[in-house]
Amino acid sequence: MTSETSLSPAPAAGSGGTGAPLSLAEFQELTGAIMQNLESVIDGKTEAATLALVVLIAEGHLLVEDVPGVGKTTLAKALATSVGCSVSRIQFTPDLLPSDVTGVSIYNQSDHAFEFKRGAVFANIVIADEINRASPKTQSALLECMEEGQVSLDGTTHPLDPPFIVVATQNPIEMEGTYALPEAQRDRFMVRISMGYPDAAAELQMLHQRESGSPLDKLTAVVDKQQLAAMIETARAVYVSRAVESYVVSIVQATRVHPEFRLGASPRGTLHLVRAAKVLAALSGREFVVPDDINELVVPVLAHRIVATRRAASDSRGGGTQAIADALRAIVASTPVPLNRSRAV
Amino acid sequence: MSAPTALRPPSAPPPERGGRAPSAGRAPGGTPPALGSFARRRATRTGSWKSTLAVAVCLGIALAGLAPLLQGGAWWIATMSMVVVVLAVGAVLRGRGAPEVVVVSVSAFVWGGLVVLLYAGSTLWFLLPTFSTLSDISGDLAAARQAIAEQEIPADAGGAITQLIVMAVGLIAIVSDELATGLRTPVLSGAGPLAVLAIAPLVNRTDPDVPVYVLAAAAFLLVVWCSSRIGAESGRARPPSHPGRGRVRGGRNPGLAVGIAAVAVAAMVALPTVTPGLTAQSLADDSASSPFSSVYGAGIDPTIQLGRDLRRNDPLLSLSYTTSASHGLYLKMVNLSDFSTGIWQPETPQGAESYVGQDFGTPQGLAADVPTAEVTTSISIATLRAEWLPLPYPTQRVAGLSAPWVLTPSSLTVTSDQAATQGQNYEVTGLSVEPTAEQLAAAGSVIPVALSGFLSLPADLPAVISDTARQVAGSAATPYDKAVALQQYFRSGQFSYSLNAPDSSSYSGDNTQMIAAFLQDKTGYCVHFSAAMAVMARSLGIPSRIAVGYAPGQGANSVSDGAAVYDVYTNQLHAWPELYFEGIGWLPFEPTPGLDFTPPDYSLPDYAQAGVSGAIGSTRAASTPSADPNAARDLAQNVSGTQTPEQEALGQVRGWGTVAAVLGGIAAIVLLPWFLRALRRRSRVRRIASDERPATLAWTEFEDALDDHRVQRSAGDTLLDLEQRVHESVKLPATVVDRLRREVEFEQYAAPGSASAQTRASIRSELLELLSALSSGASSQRLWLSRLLPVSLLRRRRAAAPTRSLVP
Repeated sequence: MTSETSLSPAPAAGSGGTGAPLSLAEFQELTGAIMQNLESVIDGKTEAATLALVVLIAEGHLLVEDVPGVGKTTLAKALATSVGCSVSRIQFTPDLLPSDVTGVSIYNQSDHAFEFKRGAVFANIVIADEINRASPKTQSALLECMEEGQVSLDGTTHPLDPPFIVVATQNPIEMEGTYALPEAQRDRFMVRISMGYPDAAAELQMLHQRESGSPLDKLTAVVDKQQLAAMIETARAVYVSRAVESYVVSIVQATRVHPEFRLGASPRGTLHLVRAAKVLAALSGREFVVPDDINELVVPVLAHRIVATRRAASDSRGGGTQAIADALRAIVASTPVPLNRSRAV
Repeated sequence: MSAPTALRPPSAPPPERGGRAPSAGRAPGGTPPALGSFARRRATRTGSWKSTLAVAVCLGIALAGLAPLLQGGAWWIATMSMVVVVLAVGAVLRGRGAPEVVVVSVSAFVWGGLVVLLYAGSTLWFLLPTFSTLSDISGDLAAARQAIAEQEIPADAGGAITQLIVMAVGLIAIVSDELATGLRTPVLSGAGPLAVLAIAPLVNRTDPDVPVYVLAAAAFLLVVWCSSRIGAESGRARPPSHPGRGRVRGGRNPGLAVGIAAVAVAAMVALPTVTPGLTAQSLADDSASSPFSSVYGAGIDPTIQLGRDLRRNDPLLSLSYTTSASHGLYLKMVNLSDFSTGIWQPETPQGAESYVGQDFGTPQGLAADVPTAEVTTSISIATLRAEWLPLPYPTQRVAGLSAPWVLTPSSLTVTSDQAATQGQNYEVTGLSVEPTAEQLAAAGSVIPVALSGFLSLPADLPAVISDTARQVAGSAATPYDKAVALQQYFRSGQFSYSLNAPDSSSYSGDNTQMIAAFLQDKTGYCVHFSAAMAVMARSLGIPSRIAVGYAPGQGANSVSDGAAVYDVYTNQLHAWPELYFEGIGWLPFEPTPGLDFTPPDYSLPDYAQAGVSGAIGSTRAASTPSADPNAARDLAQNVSGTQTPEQEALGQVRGWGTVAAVLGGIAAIVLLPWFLRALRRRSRVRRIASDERPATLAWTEFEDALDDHRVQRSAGDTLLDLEQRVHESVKLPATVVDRLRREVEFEQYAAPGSASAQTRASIRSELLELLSALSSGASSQRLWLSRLLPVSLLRRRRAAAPTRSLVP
């Protein structure tokens, strides 16, 4: 495992440190409770909720690309509430400074010392809204925290409290005056999802539910931080066979030679794919990863890392997003699934 | 767990990964589902008519290779009409997008209809074949065979022969076209034209007709090219399910193909000129080194061909004759007299003169006081093709010969430098030599100098031969007595007649070692007996030679002008020794036992003792039953050539037997895939009990069964995808499929050492349940399709070997 979102150097490991792995039944019970919470606030978005949960347990970061008002923040808040974590939200604007994110050292005149004022990033779940509106400098500050799991300022390291998950949102519609995340920074997010509009039935139900007030208010935490740590451990213990590993590698390598891609998936993408697949397997109650887990995650985990050729991008709507997803599905469909048969079949 | 994976809501449709991305172009089954199967096939078959046309051209050229064998051109036109009609039907159907099965069966149906319409006399309402239709056709084919066997080359392409060619080439056309156009295996389709091409050199035994071969090769390349281009012009990409296949199948590298073909043709043309001995004839003959193959024509070759002809299953009528003699006659064709090299060689003709009807002259060594009687024989040759004229010995005159013939007066043989015997009818005036016992006893005391060549023996003659000869001759006083003792030795019952035993090359060529081995084994046929007796006679000082020709033949079945007609078949080819006694001349002996030929009277021991002075062979009919145990079998063998009513019935039975055998063969071929598939299934089900991955084995069998039932699936399917796909198209117990799928996943992807959830027995019962559900749920059409054409037999499996670990 890489040191991204590292758990180890945290002095507060007593609360969120490595818990004993759970049995799969317990794991499913807990995740089921979280999912129930999530689904009670966002209707008809099972896939987005599941992916958010996967990212949480796989210790990754989530990039939500969608138009405003479809429930990005609600999803993040529900996730935070359900696991009993702190949540902070940063609304990115062009004049946001890096210190607003990470924190700032202020000279305390009574103590004659610099005192560290924590920034918004010091929370378990950080919602970075409209991350593409901030200047690249500010974006970089956040991404550094995501990568390192700590804030370094004036020679002092301030570790972030695990679990630490950044849910960044991007609005793909308004592009004027924004700084879209470059490829290198998008690569740090484990999963990119787009919420999409709810269907008519879900939207109708939402109307009824919201009459009496925000459902977020009724949510209670169903998992504490220690249980979350145990869940993370459980997911890590899921077995990945050699056959599945080589399946993943062949898919990733196929993206690097695909004629419609200018840039294929990175090795980090490979790692993220396997880690997410482990969680997905555990969510399904399996102690091992099957190719189906990989197939489910290929598009959400790899699509945002890939740059389509100009032709492929212009051929299809959605700025190439659709073309990339289609090509990835085609790669999955044409990659033979590993199946070890006896010699004399 | 209700949903297999969390991301997939239970009610959501399965991920249709295949075919969702037409722009990607790599999805399997990438043709839009809106197209019907007919339209889809049409799209993938554009240009298939070109391949069919190329097959027709190729067959037409190959058929032209038969021109040296047949007269006229009507047969070619008739055959090509059949080919064109049959192929056109197939091409039209293909163009309309019909499935291959329909194309082939309709073509075959049209073929059968045309055959019935054109060639069967008795049908019901013009078209419906009846029982007698079949027998008509099989009778026609038998007639064709007869016609081919009897006729000289080039044969008159009569109705029967044309019918045979039309039927056979029509079928070949269907098969070749299916191979080239339908299955797109053009290389295999070349077998059809090649079979047609091969006939002429095999029958005619001449060098191949080079232009025909070059043209046929070019046409074959055209077939390959057109076949590989099928579907390439449709504007859309090749069927994307096999992105790499199209390129592998050939035709993409015409330069290489043309190069290989050119080298092959060049080698074919150049080889015979470089190596003069290498011709189709020498290749076909397994004794290319034998001197006889160049001496004799296609008719009989005394040593090799004789044994081969004797072993024929279906003896052909060689000739028939009537004679004024009271018994059948030995008809000699050639003498083998030179044994100085250890190999019996035909005599070298000396003083040969063109024969224009003159007298042959006095037989060698015949004294004037030996009683003789004139015998006239009328010989009519049927199928025999040879350079040597069959004549009874000694002959005085021959009348009625056509074509130039050459007489060798010293040996009284008549030859021609072309194999011109076929169709000859001629009258022979010969002598019947009837020496008295006293004359026999006195004969042979001196040997003329001119005959010393008939005593020559190779220096390395094995001692066993002369030792045996001396032993056998024993106390016999005169040369004649010694000869009688030798014949008696071979006929005494120690020796048995067998066509099969001495079939190895060391035994079948006549040389000294062969004779020694024959004296050891005491089994063989006429060649061995006659050679052994001739060599032993020489070692005793009696001049000898081997006569090759025909045994007297079948006793009179019919009578012509008051004389019995003898029919002589190929299996009556014979070799016998002739021994020379000064004063009487050459006398034939018959050492070969087990046949129904009886030796001449004078050669029997009691002839001399009883002092009978009468006619030779006064009473012996050729078919006198003999006491020899082998006689019955040989009798049956000889009889099979005749046509008594019983045997005609037998022939019909055999004809029907052939029909039954052909039908059985077709049935066997049709049922073979079913059988193989059932074997494979059985073996897999059995191996579930022992295989290290029993569930995977069961799954493999399940997948194959799905393929056989033509359930669409894709190479990129995961187990779960397949499970969902299956439920879309066939009705199967969902829980069973699910259980089996889970077990396979467990087997494949779980950590080693995890405890398996199911026993082998439950896996086996799940598989059997799925298989039976699959067949009971299928329509009968699908079911038979899956049984008779199990496509899973054709599929090769790649072993998905895990690479080294790249992910921690």
